[in-house]
Amino acid sequence: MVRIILTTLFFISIVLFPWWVTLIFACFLLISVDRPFELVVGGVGMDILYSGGGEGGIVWLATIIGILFFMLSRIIRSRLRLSS
Amino acid sequence: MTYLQKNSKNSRSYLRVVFITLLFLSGVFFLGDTLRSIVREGISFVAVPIWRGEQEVFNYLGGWWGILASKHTLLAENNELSKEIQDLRIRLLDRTILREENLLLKEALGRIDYEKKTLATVLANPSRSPYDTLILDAGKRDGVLLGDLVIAGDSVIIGSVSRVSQTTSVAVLFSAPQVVTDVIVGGDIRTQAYGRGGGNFEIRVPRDQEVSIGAPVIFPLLSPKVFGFIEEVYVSPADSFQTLLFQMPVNVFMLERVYLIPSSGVASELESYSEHLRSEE
Repeated sequence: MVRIILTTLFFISIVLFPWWVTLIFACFLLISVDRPFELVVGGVGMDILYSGGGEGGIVWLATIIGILFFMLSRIIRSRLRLSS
Repeated sequence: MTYLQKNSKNSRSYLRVVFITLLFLSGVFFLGDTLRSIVREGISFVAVPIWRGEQEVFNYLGGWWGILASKHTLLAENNELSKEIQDLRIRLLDRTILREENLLLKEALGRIDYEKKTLATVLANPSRSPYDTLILDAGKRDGVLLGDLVIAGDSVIIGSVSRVSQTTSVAVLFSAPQVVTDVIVGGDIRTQAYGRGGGNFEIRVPRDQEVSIGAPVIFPLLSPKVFGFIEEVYVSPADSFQTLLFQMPVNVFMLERVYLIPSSGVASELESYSEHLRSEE
């Protein structure tokens, strides 16, 4: 249930809210959801939607952050599990 | 000694998610523009009605806010705005005369200044993404082409179109990081402005060239467009260059409508303008 709510808010924030709100929801997804692949999908969507393209091509900044968060979630969650 | 048991089922499931994600990413990266434009059209299909609805809601709420605001505040604001309008009317009168004179001179010299303008509504402003881009509601079907210039108001140039779909387009602001634009400072210094994000720019010129605060920065076209006005000048004794800082004269985060003009001929005009400057020297 938490996953559905956070994922919905995350995708809504990509379209409706400033990028830093999206980042906050991404952080929530990172710590509360197992294997948050939504972050990568959202990152790609954000880049395709907003990135300028042109001479330098699309800047894949949000995608890279999404992948990093996805990898980070594995580490964070494994640490949390050990500590508990 | 106790070892933690590896959860092989969990690892397998994790690998499956990684594999699917990688497959999705490789599709996006390697299948190129076709897949990207399909994805983009798909997202736009959902996003554009939401953005339009959002604008309607804000316009509606803006009207209600006026009712809620106190009479005293409204009266003060009204007085201030009336004064500003009067001041602007006078300036506009002067400007209209100068513009007409300019057009007559160009016509006499055989250069007809024709700009085909396309009006576009700003669907998403730069606060939505960290890329300093605007999403506009005009696309290929409205005659928008790649590289078209984005104008705010009548003469303030702010960016250029970098991606076009059937119904929407993405414009990169000149203030986006890593964007370098040819400009003319103070009427005769030909240089480049570096985007610093959020409508901010930086220019580096030799220290011996005199630049005052308030000097206009112009984007050279047949009808030169305003790029900004110098706001800060930094000179360091150890540096042979001085740094000029300025902002766009319009607030890009509050823009509602912009004009798009074709960029064809910009390069040749830049060339002829620089030749003209060289001949003057």
